[in-house]
Amino acid sequence: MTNLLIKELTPSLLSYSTVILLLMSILIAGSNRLQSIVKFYAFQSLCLVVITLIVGFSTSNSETIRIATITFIGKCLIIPLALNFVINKTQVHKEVDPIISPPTTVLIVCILIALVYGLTSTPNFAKIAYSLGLFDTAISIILIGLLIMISRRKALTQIVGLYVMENGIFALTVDTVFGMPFVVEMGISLDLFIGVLIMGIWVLRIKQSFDSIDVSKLSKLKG
Amino acid sequence: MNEELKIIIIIFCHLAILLLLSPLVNSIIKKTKALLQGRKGIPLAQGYYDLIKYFHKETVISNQTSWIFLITPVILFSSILLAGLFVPLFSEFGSIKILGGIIVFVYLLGLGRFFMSLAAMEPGSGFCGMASSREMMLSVLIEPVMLLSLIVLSLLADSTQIFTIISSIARHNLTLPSTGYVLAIIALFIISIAEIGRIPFDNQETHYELTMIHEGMLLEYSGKLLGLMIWSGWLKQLIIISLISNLIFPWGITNTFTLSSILIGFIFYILKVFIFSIFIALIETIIAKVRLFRVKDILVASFVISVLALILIIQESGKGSLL
Amino acid sequence: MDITLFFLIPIITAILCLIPNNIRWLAPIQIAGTSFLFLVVIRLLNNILQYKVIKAFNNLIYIDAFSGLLILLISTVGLLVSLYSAGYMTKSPEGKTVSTWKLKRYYFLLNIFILTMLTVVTANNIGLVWVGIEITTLVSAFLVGYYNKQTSIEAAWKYIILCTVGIAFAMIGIILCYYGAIHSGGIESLSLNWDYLLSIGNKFDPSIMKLAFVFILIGYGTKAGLAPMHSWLPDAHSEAPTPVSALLSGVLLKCGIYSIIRFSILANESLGAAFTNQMLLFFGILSIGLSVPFIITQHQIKRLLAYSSLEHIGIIVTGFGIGNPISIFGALFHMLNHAMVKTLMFFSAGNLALKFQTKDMSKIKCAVNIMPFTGTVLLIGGLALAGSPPFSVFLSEFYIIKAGIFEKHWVISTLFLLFLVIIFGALMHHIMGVTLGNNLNNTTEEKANIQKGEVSKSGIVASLIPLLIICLLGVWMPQSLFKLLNASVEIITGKGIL
Repeated sequence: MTNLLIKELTPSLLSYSTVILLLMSILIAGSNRLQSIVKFYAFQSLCLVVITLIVGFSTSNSETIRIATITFIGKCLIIPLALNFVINKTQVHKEVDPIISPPTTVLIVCILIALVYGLTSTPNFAKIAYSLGLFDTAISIILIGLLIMISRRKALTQIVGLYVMENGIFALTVDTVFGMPFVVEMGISLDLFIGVLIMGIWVLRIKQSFDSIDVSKLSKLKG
Repeated sequence: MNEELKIIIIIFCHLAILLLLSPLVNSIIKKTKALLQGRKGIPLAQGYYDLIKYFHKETVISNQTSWIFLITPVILFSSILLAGLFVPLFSEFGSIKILGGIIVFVYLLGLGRFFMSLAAMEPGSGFCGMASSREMMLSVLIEPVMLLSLIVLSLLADSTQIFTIISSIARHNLTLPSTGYVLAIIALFIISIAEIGRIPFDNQETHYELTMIHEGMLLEYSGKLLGLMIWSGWLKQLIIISLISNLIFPWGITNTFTLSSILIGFIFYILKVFIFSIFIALIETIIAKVRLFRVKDILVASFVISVLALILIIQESGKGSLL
Repeated sequence: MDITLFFLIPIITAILCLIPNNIRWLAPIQIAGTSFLFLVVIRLLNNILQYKVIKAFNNLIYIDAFSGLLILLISTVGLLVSLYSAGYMTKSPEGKTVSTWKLKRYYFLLNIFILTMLTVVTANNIGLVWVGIEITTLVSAFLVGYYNKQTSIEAAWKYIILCTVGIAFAMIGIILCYYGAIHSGGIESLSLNWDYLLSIGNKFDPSIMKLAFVFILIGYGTKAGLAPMHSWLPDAHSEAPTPVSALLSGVLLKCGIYSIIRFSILANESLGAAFTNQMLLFFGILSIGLSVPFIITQHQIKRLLAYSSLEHIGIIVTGFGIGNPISIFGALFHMLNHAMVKTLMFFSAGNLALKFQTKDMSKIKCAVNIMPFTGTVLLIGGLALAGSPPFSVFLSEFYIIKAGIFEKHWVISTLFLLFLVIIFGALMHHIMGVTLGNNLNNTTEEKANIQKGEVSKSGIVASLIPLLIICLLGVWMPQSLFKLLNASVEIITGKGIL
């Protein structure tokens, strides 16, 4: 009975998580409060963990489950905490006057998603797209991450954009190859955690010497 | 009993329910809010008292106005009532099937809104004009999203008839519903709250000139005409609530013409509407009204959600590439 | 044992550098550590020439001649940088005193940086190569922003963000490659190990491999500083402390190229060499061409050298792209030559910048008079860098162009020569201006502040060694080095030049 229930529930749980994954990246693109952006990021990562767990249980692969655990610790706890620490330390809570305003960004995101979904349903891509149906979502999230990075001025939002992009790549690995080998995944997670700490330090240094974390002020080096 | 007579009876029941229930629903929302805020609130029959009061009062009309001002309440009332016939309340028959479903539904509401803003500009009052321009700004954002999310649902059901959509959702709703459907419902819900002019988009209970939208347009009306306008506002509210609640919980809608099944359907319907009204009151208590210029952000978000729903539905149903 | 030592030495040196409280002890520890590393590397290279491939640590480490060459580069430049740092890092560019803690941290990070680069070139698993490259970015960002000025913070931030985004693209390439592996090799012996992938290399789906290679080229190309993705390169090179600039330019860029070429070997198995070669040629020539206007109009000496690095990266990639064993030999040889000559140039430029307290070339004049040794070395190094005959840089560029004409790449060869000639002129113009140019107009005040004489003795030693190497290699190549390069060519093309 429970088995049957799980079999019934798994596909819809998967598709719900996929949509929430996408929705969260849209919310990140459309929000200008740094704290809520970090919250959305954490929630998006949680969805990824759920997806990874589903994949792990349905393929009964213990490595995938271990990867999910590490991802949970890193992306839902360490990275959001570190980002929040930086927010509190710099006392910058809002993305004022971004290069592209949040509603416009969201509209662009909308067009992007439509394009990606349209393109990936062409037969050339059908070869790569795997059964989970996460492929187009993953590509969209990578592009949304890039968009966030180029449309925002605050150093912290750029970091979040980078990590959204990384989430997209993680979703891609889960979709196409059911997660990388454990050693590699460990290395990547380690990279991410060190990365967020080091970038956090740099944000603090930028704040210290420019008295703002506005990246557009970093424009002295030219030629 | 022959078929046509049945349908006529049902349509009359339908109209009667809409007309009679709408003041009550509004009072329920008000009462719930009052209770949640620790006040005693109005009696539940207050809506009816108000209407009786308005219809007994004398109508005063500014001599600056033309025939549009006079005709607007009638057009508004009848267009909304007609739109109400598209939405099944408790039975699958009775709602009008011939007139292209959702598109006519949305634009009947649009017609009423158009005349209302036109009439609001007639007496030349500053507040009325301001309110009407605000209403137009919102409707520009509301209508496409409403249509889009309804189109998503109609793609799901392969029909633009609202009652077909609802009955097909009822048939497929046993396991977890598809994601496209959930997203479309979320978008539709947000947009509905904007459409019936509730917090966080508009506050019906203040007459604060700088913020009011719907109330602002009624400022110059009085007596019977005001009664008609207010009643059509309540009607619209009830229609939207019925639409949404039937889309989310499509159970209990009968397709057999027996007394018992109609009775069960009716009870279900009343329950759904009451629960929904209480839910709206809850939202109104929890959330604060947003600034007019922030409203567009929320509406854009619901637009995006409905587009996303559209994309997903096209993907899921495998109707081919978007491009 | 050798391999364990090889990784342990940088770690131990890094930790030892954190201990002493006296600045005097830092440089000797560092020099001792890197010299020891150099000796171990020499022994290791001997083993490589003997056994061809060395695997260790449960197949995590895979060293062949190609990685051997990179290891040689890293350890040599590492040693030179340690020598140079001894004199250079104790003086800050603003003439303030340097705090002990900061200097300790510098040496610590320097060692970790060297360690991460060693990991990149020795890791067997291509996923771990990615991880290694990402960590080099994170670690070296601290070194780039060492001075904590506004400009250096800007350079470091751009460096981190651009390289991390770029490398994220490389990750997509690796995922695609892994996907290809799953679909061609079966699940049972699945891994991302380079030797395993190579063994099933010809079974990959070519279209997926094509896509993967493009992503890898864009991704690691950012790290290697290839043309459209190079915008971090001049900033980071000019703002980093000079020894770090030398490390970045001399070896880090080559680590990026190493990863690209490693992957292209794999991609060639299923694709054939034509596609990858075309891509490499395009990016190579684009890099050389794009560096030309910037070199001509440059005012800052370290930025000039950074753009010249862009040019040389272009030359190396073009060499690989021509695909002839001779040109690949030339490209590998050029990696070595460029590392040496660029280290030398950065050291001299750093000395000048420290002496004149500016990096602006219009304010550095007549260096030969003020710093006779550094000025002369800069002049000779400039000639070598531009590619004039007696030096080894000329030789490697000649190999590449010869192979290009031999393979009938007429357009590429013509452009290559044209750009090189323009750059020769521009580079010599700038270097002549700095070394032999007239004294400053407002000499009386400015000259009073500038004392004659060199900055440090260790700096002299550090720039003498590479100068000797490029002179020597220009006329005579040791047999063992030739063997190493030839073995690398064999790995890349399947056949050596003899």
